[in-house]
Amino acid sequence: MHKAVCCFLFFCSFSLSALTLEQLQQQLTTQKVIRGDFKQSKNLQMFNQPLVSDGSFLLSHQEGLIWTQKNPFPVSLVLTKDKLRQQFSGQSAEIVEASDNPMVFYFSHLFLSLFKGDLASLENQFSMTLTGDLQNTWILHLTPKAAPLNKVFKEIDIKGSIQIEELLLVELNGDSSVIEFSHIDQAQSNLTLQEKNAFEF
Amino acid sequence: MFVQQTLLQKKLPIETNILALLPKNQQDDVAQYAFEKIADNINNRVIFLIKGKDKDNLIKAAEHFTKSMASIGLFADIESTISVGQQESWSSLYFPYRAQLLSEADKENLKTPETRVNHVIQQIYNPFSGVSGGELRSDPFLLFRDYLSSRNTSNSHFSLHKSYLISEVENNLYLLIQADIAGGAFDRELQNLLPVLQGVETRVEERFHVKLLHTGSLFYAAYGTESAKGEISTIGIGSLIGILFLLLMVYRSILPLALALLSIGCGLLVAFVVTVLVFGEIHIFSLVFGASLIGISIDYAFHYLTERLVHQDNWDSDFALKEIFNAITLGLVTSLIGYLGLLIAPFPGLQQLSLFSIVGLFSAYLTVVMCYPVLSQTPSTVKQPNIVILDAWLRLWRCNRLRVALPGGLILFALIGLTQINFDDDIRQLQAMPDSLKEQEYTIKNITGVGNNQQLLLVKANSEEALLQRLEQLSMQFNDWKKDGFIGNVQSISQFVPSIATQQENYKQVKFLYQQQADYLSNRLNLVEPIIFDQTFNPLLIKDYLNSSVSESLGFLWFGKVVGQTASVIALSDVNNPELIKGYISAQSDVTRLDKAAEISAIFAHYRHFISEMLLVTYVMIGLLLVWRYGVKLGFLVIIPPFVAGLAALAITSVLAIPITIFNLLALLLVLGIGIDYTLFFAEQKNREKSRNTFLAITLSAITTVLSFGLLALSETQAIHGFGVTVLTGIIIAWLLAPLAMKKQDVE
Repeated sequence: MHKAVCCFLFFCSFSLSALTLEQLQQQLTTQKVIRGDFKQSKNLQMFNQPLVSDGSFLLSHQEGLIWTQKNPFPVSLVLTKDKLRQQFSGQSAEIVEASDNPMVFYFSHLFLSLFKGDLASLENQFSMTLTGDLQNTWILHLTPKAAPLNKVFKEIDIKGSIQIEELLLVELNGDSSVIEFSHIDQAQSNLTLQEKNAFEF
Repeated sequence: MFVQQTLLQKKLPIETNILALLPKNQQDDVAQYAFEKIADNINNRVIFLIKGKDKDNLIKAAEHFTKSMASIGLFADIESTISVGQQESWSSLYFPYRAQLLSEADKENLKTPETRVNHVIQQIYNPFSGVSGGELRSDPFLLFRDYLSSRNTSNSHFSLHKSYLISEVENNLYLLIQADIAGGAFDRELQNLLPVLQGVETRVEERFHVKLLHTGSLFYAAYGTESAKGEISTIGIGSLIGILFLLLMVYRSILPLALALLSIGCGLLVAFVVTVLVFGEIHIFSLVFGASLIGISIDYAFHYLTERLVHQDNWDSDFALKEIFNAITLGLVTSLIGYLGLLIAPFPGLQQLSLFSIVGLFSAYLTVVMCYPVLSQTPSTVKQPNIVILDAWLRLWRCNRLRVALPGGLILFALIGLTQINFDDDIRQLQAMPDSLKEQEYTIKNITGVGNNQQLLLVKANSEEALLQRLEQLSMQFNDWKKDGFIGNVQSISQFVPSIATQQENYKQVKFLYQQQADYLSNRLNLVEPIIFDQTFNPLLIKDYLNSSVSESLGFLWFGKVVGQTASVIALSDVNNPELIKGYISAQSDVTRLDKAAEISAIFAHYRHFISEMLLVTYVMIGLLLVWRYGVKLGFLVIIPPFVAGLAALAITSVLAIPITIFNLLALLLVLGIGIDYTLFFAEQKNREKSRNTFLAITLSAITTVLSFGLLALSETQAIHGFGVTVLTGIIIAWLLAPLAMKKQDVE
């Protein structure tokens, strides 16, 4: 009898925690503003050792993404719906508009969708499988459906629990890039004046 | 038999393309070829914009629209999405030649090659750039991606959204769809499919709550055809009804009616057949004018029928013919002289018109001369009409003061009116341009960035390489102008295929970069294997570009070998400073502007002067003919009415603010040729009673002619409208003054 109850409870908890794409999408978009740190590691076979960078980021679902790299050299990148501002250490800022160059924005928008967990727009280009649950960790496997993505990437994995924790891009030839997110702070949902200004350019 | 053959063919050989009316460019074969190629390409393109507020809704509308469009059978090719395949085509075309291709920015930056390594490193660390291992291996300095993105910049403000091109302007979204029609814009079968397209557009607009804009030569051509068809009907039917009414009113019996229709019918039929035999086709423009022939060809019939009406029981059909024979023959000859003037100008359009009219008039005349006496042996049983007004008017002409005052007064009025004269040789007077189409075109041009004020420059050289180098040189100058704001955009084939000289320079620069910086980059990236430069020089050629699908949109700018030279066209748009361009081009011996409109306008102006001289010659010739027949005094009297009529007609046209064009001058030829008929008949009359009868016939002729040309004056096409007004007023005044040639003793 005891065993049966245990089994029953086990099955219940299992079925209660099976995660669907809709639930994940819901979870990922509850917080409108996310701040945190990142560590990016590019592992290419042609490199003797991976290229590593780190810094902090601010993701606003409404405005866009601010990516502030500190190491190995300072970079400030701001991406909005139709503009990209890049400023590398010591140089003046460069602004690229989507209407001038739609191709350049293609990958940027893809990256932003991955980052935001915007599953609806990713659905067009990837077939998705989801394993895990919200209490522990979940992994979303994305496999590109068509060119040009499927000519370059074998798969893209997004891993997280309450928020996205890791983004892994694996190329067909075995090269990969991984971005790990840490110190995620979702409490402050308003942008500071400085942050708001960063999006206006 | 020919008629049978024509009827057996499904369609009549009627041409609607305005350019078929115009003389070809005789000076420059290359320019003519270039113009025709480009015209074909532009004429077959149709552009649609779907206007709305929501991107996804627009895309749904676009999908539905393109599916419906495809089923109409009007389009050979519809482009609504930029397929990924297309995006890849650029890459696969240029990739093998990447060591020879550099964007303008990189060409500058590589002058300091040391900066490149930092740039590469930054891009690798940038998560937005999408630099993959594969790319880095084949292009370690990331030059190729710079080149590719620089080829794709355009002046338009469209961005890709789910493979569709959408632009946002002033809070509205516009989705772009382009299509090529399955044939020429002047193909009447395609034009007939337009109402189906309109139906599809309306359904899409209603279902998705969007607005559809469209532009393309097809729409203008179809409109022109419709309006011409409408006018032919109006003029043809209007004239016929007027004539029938008059015939019934005056002659009040069936025989005259039947004879008249016989004459008109023969005239038109033979005219149509002969013109098609000679030219292979008839332009719809000629048919519009030809419809007015109805009112003129009836003149001979009127003279004959009036004789019959008047003679009642004294009727002898052959004798009657002899009576009027001289007059109508002379009348025919003078009218033919008038139309012959048109035959001389090398305008296919005017030649057709004149041949049609000459043959038509001649056939109508022959019908009267050969058939009428035979068919109308019986006398008229209707009593003569008693037209008091005509008598009264004729009696007025006895008074000397009237004989001087009326013409004199008209001449004075004419001279004053002529001060308002204003000449216009613009080709656009030949086209009916509806406002709604023009508005859509303007909007679409602005939003797509194609720009208005386009200029096409033809560049010629001795070889492919020489031409490409020249195009590069010119493009550099034009890009400076673009920076200064004098022009909006430049498009040249050299932007997509650099000259071999440039490719060699680039190759040197790239090789140098690798020699100097490859090791440094290998170290910074900590590479397993060092970077080596292993590409050999292999030039990208025009034929590679033209064979690739990327050349579908602009490849037509390259003509290759034409008449011994190699030629291509540079397209400038949004030209704000045409004087600057004109000045620069005139200094270049191998560059000419392709401007058909200006060229035609210049031809029009030239022929306007030519026709003026022709007019004088015609007056002199006819004057001599008259003097030979009538002596100096009467001859002079005969020619004054049409002369004054011509002056006054021109004056009235000017006063009505209608610009004087080549067509108004041609109209004067007709006023002379037809107006003189009236005075001739008076001059030929031998006694008073005859004069009264003559005047009846002349009045009837004048009414029908005025009716026909008056209807022409209702045309939407400016040229035809002006022509109609001039002839109309000229004929009225010629009729008014015709009794001047009446012998004084006849009036009592």
